[in-house]
Amino acid sequence: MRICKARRQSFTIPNDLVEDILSRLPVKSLMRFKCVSKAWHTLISSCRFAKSHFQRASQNPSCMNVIVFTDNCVLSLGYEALFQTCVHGQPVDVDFQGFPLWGEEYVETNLASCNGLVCIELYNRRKRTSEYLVWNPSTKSYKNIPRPTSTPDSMSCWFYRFGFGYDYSTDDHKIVRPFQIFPFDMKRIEIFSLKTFTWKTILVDVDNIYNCSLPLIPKTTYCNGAIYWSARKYGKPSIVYFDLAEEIFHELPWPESVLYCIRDRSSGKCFYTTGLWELGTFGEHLCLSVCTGESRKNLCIQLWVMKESWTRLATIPYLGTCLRPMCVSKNGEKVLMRETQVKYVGITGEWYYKLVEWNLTDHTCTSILCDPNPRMEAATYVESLYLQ
Amino acid sequence: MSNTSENPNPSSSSAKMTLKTSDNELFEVEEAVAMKFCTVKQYFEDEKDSDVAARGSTTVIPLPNVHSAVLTMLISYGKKLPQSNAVADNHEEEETKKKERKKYEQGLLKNLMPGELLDLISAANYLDFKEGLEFFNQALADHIQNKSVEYVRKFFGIKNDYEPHEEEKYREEYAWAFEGIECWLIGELKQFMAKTKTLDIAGTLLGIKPALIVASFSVRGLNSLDSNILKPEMIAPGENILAAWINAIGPTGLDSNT
Repeated sequence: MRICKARRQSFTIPNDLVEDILSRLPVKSLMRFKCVSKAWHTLISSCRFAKSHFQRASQNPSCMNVIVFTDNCVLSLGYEALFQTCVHGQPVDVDFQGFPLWGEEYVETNLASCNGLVCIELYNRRKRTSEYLVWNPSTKSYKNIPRPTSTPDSMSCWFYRFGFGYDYSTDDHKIVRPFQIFPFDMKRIEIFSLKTFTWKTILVDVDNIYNCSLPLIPKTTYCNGAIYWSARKYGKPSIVYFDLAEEIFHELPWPESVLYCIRDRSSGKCFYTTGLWELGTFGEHLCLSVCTGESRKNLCIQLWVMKESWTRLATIPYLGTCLRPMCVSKNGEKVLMRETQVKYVGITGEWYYKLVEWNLTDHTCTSILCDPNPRMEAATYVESLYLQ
Repeated sequence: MSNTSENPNPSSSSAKMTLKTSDNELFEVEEAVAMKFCTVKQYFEDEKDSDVAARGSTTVIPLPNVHSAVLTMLISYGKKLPQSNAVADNHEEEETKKKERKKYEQGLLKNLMPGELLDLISAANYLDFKEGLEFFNQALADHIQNKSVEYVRKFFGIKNDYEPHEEEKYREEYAWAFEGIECWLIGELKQFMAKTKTLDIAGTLLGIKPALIVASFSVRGLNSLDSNILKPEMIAPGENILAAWINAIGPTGLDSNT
């Protein structure tokens, strides 16, 4: 039965319904509809709307994207490219003022992402200084982050890997960087708040936090309001995390049943897999990807997720590479991972990164973005309206 | 997941309720479906408290803001949803029901005019029909996703309060957001603009040979309303005419027209 004839008066949608309808739209449509009227402009630009839009998008796996920085360009991959069809990244035009991405030789680009924002670090290996920029690939807006005002001289302290995360208590995004001043007694952490746009430094009370000193320097992972580092405590692998709301470090022990020391039966020697593990995310949970096994010849990669406690998710064959889980498909079958491979030429090793997709049910592996790239960084992001 | 909640009134599991729409039509609806309309549920519970149901007569619940055509659609959508008092289905049955519902939803949307969506949303909002609102809001979002700003303004009846230069500036700055969208009015407008030409009065030219010949089917002579005007008032070269005509009689009075 047609309703057209039944319309007796025009219906203007009440504001809460307009908000509900708009919160379902992709960012491109919303940025366009800011032009509809001043009221819509105010609504779409508001923090509250950005938050509710993000909450809806984060529940929708199709809104997950991956941004890849190779050594000369930036590519973006959407959900279809990742888990459904093949696999070409869309080149993204980036032009950050005052932030040269492929400028100098000793500068490496590092990424950390959280919610819909990507934090880019330009780390100068010689001077040991870092510059930061926060970018929203969906709205194409970015902010250059000022240098910390009270950094001690970079030569007299050691900085750990930076992290980027979201503080639920203040609806704020933060950049954190732990460091130690020689001679390595007090540990501190620098925190930058995107809301106040300032840095601050606080002392931390944590026992033995430092990155694995092995070549495969793992990165930080953000998960549920905290930033996670891989660490070592008295020779055993451990996980340390910083709660952004409380601003306190905690320790998270490894799953108990995972062996990191594998005894070779014939020689009796121990083979340590302490270098071959990475932290990532599986959906909204922290995921540990660790190479382990009964013996050296019988290694596999186990994926463990942290829910109430550590739960083993899957086991996949070990192919000589380290895998960092990044995101998972809708049905939970396929996991996108960043693969790290070391190639030795003589005694010098070069690290190559590739994006691969593992199917957990039939143990097959597909390459995404085929060329192993010596300087590839990748991060996941969800479409969002933060930082317009 | 379907619930196996204990039904407090076993006898009312197939009870019906009567709803009266704005155009005075009465609808008999199963209680399970009607309870999805929270406004109705609230009304029913208030009535129960006031002991009307105990009298045995079926109350007629008035819905002054809902037209019968709209209610028909909402009820049929409500019937397709999992019922809260249904017996627990096994996984297979649940999957088939889900597929059925998806198919029904797709069919529903295909035949729906955009304006009708607004009516459905209005009614679902008034009835506090959460599942219906969720579905129709999503349908509306999907519909406007790729539309232009002009379309959205017209659709929602929103007045543009931007100055032209402000709007122009925004469109330039965020040109990427305006790419690849369905250009509804703009496309048609552009087409029209391209075919518009201005005429200048050249004056009367004499001595042109050969003189122009007017086609046999063109009207000549005095204008029937004003004898000061001679027909044809305006002519242009060519004989192929593209014009609108009513179906009843052809332009030339012949049996067939090319």
